[in-house]
Amino acid sequence: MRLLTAILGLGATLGLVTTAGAGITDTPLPTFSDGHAAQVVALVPGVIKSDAIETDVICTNLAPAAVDIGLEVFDVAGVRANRVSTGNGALLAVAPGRTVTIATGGTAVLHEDATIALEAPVTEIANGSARVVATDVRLACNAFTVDSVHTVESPNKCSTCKPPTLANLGLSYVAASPPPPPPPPSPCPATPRSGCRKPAGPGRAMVLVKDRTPDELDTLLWKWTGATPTAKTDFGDPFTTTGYTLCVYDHTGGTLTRRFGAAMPFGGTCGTRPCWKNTTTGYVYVDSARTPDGVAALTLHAAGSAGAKLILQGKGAHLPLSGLPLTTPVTVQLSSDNGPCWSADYSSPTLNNTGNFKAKSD
Amino acid sequence: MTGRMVARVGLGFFLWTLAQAGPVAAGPTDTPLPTFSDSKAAVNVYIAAGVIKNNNLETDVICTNIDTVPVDIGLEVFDETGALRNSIAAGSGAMLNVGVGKTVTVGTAGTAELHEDQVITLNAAGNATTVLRNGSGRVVATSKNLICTAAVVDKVHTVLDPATSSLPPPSLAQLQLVKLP
Repeated sequence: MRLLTAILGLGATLGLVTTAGAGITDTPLPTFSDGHAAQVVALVPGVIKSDAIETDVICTNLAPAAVDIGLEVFDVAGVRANRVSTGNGALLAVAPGRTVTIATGGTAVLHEDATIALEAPVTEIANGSARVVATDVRLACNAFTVDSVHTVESPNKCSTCKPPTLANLGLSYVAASPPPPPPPPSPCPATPRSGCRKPAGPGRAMVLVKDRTPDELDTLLWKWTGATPTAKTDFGDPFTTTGYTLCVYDHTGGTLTRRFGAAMPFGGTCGTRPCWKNTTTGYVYVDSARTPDGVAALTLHAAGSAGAKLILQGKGAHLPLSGLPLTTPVTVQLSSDNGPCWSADYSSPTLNNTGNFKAKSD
Repeated sequence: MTGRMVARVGLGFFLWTLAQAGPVAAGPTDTPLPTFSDSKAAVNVYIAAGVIKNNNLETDVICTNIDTVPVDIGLEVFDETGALRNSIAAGSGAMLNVGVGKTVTVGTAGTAELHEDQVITLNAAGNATTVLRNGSGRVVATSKNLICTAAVVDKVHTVLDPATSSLPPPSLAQLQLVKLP
């Protein structure tokens, strides 16, 4: 009986503690005063509003639309000390790209857009926590504890003025740290261009892709020999206006899908020399740094009759490979900016696995 | 003025109008990525909220090139409106051809305590003030293979031996960066 009483007592105690101090993870999420529901963006340990120390949380809206942003603070027992739903610690409709600061109090050295008024029963946070809530989790934030009374004064003007204490609190993002912005746009269109020049016949173009770990060992090789005359002027002016892009498409999921692309911008300096060189029959692009997309070399060789040759070599971690194998048929195109394109299709690869794709053209 | 020229001027004005009508406050995710002055395109490597250049506080970002080739590294800063306040293309906040294994610091200004290789000159965009009281930033480079850290630092104080000086040490706090995939 004594044991049962002890167990019941312990259970009751735990229940009381749980109920009384829900804290940053268990407290129900608020709704902003404009009726929008909040989500948790980040948790902040070590929030202090005591002894002239305040906590400032600075957030930038990374989402493409305006968001409501709030800061909820909790005392040592996990009791929430402000209600975002009434506007206490909330900023509504923060525009994309904007940065705002919500704090437990005003400070002399930092800027605050909103300050929290502690609500009963909380009157001080000597050892608290907080959570950043918002209508979209795509925020980047930093949290500081900061001395509220000191400013940074030049010692030449005031040798006795002490600068403020300032420390980062190391907040933790609850969503995937935070959700990344959309990837940069591919240099390639969603679908292949039409009307591109074709190789001279079956097997007159080839492609080799090696996807390795580490990515530094990734390789891309594409060779193409043409069927129709290609003049040097068809290559445009790679020194001033005509960049090039290699695009790879396959049939993932049964539909034509852009898999990856690599750009070779016009002009520029690669190392100490111009990236592009003029040759008798065309142009050569050489970039030992292999930026931006891993291309080390591109040769554009014109020919008055069939026999124009294009050769692209890429290597390393900059190559934006998106995984192998590819789903046939595969299309590889080299496009010039506002000019011709050269294309080949590959239906029967000799290698197509997680590490290699190798094929000659149809 | 020929009809074609009129059309070109009209198109130019239309494009200018579109640009003006677009979101002014693009911020560190929507603002187009820059090209370095050596014509190399930049990728977005880190984002930081809380970039401060105000009340004698400055922000320093320190990066080490862990790629196998030299990279260009830049720091772009945005004010509280989201306006980009420096030009990497013009060299403000940019370090070109940083060697393998080298470490560089780009700051919003020089500080007495830390070393800066490059400091940013704010342009007149956005709120057009000379401070970032509530800013953000992004580290851009020609490679994702960087490791960086950032700090908010008092620009006027240095650490002196208390046996010989009564001057206080500087305020200094880390600024958390968000690494982008």
